[in-house]
Amino acid sequence: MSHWIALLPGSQASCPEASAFQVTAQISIQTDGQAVAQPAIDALRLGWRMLQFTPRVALLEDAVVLEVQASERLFGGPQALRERVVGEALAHGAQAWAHAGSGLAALALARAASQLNQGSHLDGDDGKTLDDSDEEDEVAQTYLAERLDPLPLDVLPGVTAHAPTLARLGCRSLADVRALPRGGLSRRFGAGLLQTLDQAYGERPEAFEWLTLPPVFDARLELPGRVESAPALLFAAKRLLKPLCAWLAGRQAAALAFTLRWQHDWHRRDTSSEGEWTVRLGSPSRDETRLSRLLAEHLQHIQLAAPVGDISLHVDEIEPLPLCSQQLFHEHREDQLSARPDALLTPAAQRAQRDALLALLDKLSVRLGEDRVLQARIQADHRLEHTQCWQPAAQALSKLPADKAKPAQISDMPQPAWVLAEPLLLAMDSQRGGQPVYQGRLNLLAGPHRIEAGWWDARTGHARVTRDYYLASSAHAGLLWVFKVQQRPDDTRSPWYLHGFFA
Amino acid sequence: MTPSATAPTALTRRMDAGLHWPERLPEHLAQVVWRGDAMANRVDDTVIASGHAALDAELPGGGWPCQSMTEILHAQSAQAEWRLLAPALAQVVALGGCVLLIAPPHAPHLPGLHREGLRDDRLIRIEAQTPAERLWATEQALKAGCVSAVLSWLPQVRPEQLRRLHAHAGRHPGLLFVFRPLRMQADSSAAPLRLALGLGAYPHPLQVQIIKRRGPAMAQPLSLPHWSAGLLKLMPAEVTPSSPPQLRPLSPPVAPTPISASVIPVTATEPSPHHVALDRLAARESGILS
Repeated sequence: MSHWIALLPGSQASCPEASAFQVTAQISIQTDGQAVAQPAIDALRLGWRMLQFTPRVALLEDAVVLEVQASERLFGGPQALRERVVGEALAHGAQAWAHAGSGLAALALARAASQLNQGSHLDGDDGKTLDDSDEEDEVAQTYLAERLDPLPLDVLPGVTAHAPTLARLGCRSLADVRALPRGGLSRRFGAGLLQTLDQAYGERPEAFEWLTLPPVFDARLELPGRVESAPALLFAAKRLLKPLCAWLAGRQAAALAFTLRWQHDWHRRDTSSEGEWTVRLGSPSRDETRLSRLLAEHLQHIQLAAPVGDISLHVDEIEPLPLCSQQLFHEHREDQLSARPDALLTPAAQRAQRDALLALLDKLSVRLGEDRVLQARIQADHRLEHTQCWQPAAQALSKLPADKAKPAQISDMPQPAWVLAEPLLLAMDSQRGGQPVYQGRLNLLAGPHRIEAGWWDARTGHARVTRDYYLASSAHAGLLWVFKVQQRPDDTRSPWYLHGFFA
Repeated sequence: MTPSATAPTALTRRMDAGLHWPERLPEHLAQVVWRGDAMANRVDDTVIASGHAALDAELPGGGWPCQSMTEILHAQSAQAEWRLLAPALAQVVALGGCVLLIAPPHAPHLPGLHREGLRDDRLIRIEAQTPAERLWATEQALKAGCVSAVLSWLPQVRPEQLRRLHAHAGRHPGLLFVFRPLRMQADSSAAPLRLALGLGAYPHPLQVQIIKRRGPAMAQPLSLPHWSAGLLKLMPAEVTPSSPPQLRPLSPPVAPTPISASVIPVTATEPSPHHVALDRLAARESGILS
């Protein structure tokens, strides 16, 4: 017998705000050209998410059933696979689950579980090893029948419709229905009832229409009211991010860029009737929290031209998410992201740190601007202002993996720790023979070191430099890196500039 | 004389009877009780050695504390920050951590820092301008929990804002240094460790005075004569205003040996493959001979 798991998507009634919103808002997702209405969205979302475990996922009424036998070996056995599937499902809105030897049985058990107790589950088989041999099959079927027999009539689709009539016949459980003569049952209720029962009890093969992922993600949400400011769109957009993340999970991929589009409810004639904003990520991600935080930062920057009536979310770029090896020992989440020196030894910890860092940089770049979150690379150049090239950090980090960075060529000269963006013109002490002054008279300690370079550089007019660098000591400012420029003898301006601090 | 003055109170009677506080607490209590006159050495605190032995001896726990805010007050920025912190930051970077600079006074010069062990791809600089932006960026960096060391220059910050940062620092696993002007010394601050950083007269040793720590008040400021080895060679022993020093030549290349022994070298000296092969050959031959 095969291994089926049924999941019942829960209502999100735990959050009153969300449910109030749900009543009025209409979400629709385009799958194969036809729109899916709201009630099925939760199941669809769960189904998409389950596609990461097995391609055999089907929607059965309001529930999701999946056949996972073929994936058992990949995920380390039926028990481990079930734990992962259920863990993922419960984290994303499933409220009850069950597993059994047939899809309909699993669904019936899951419904019975949700009727008995919220969040519980019933086992269709107690982790029994299922073999293909006939004997084992028979044992499993007997066991399945034992579990299904006491269930009420309203848990099995196909039986539910006839439940009132059957109840009047004196049937209280599925066992009572099965005890009725088959011929009479078939004549009275049609062949469908018997077929459903047989399929549930594993006596007849089941056939489902498997769920497939739409090739392009495009979800639309009609807002319950006009929204006039962009940050207020976030709440609605978060509801679209949920199916997006499920879709990405099903594709084993992560988003690199997605676009939020909105339609204006009412607009002036000279403005466009719609708008859009593309959110680009520093590193691919399908973490719902990260995406929604990033979107929130972006929405702060948007000015809406007119009130918005509905929004849609479209994924532009995805990237297959590399399968990372799991950590050998399960670590606490806080420790996993720990920046403690000894916590970065495992590759998984380093990866987690890198991802968290990229998410942080994304966030900072959106609020402050990309050109203010900077990272530099050392360049081989003798001119102090050209020895490093600052560039947006998110780009620099994602472009160049840390370990592939080539060792930089650094000259053997002493190098200051701070460098001034523009060399500072130093005043001269006219009394003592023209010594430069910076917070006290400067004592030149070592030098000169002639830098004469940049004549090839035509980008700026004054790229060519001819400077004599000295190491100088100031009474109050410590060691300084100063230079003297070549001047004509009749030039009376100070030739001394301050360029760096040895802090 | 009133009768109450002569009559022994319950407390004095007990003290007379020799019921003092015990001289030494039991071991399990002594670990959790910190007396104000002793240095706090809590076992669960992670510290990173500062790289200055004299300073480590004065810091509670023997290094810069992680998960905590360290406040550095200086009269003038861009004077001695890297000399004080580079050895500790180099350790952090060598272990794969990264350093975030929030609103530094100038651009850090990476070739100089690279020599101290701070790799260029491990430094991120954030140009936050307004005080609110600086605070926000610092807070985000602390919340992310992925930055090993956060260096934040906060010239204008109110005590309650510092307290908030300190609360976030408790959940940030790495180091946090906040740089503020020296005139804030008298203001109250939530930071458990506060230092005043200054620069002495030539040859400019670091003057470190610990203003606040979990331990007894510090008697004298520390003087840390920490310069990178390359620079020390270029510095004459004495400079007086009357006798300007003889200019030393810069042209013979300064040996690129990085600073003091406490710092992890920039490039690990790996034996070249030829040497390894030769060694192996020699070992094999000696094995045959013996």
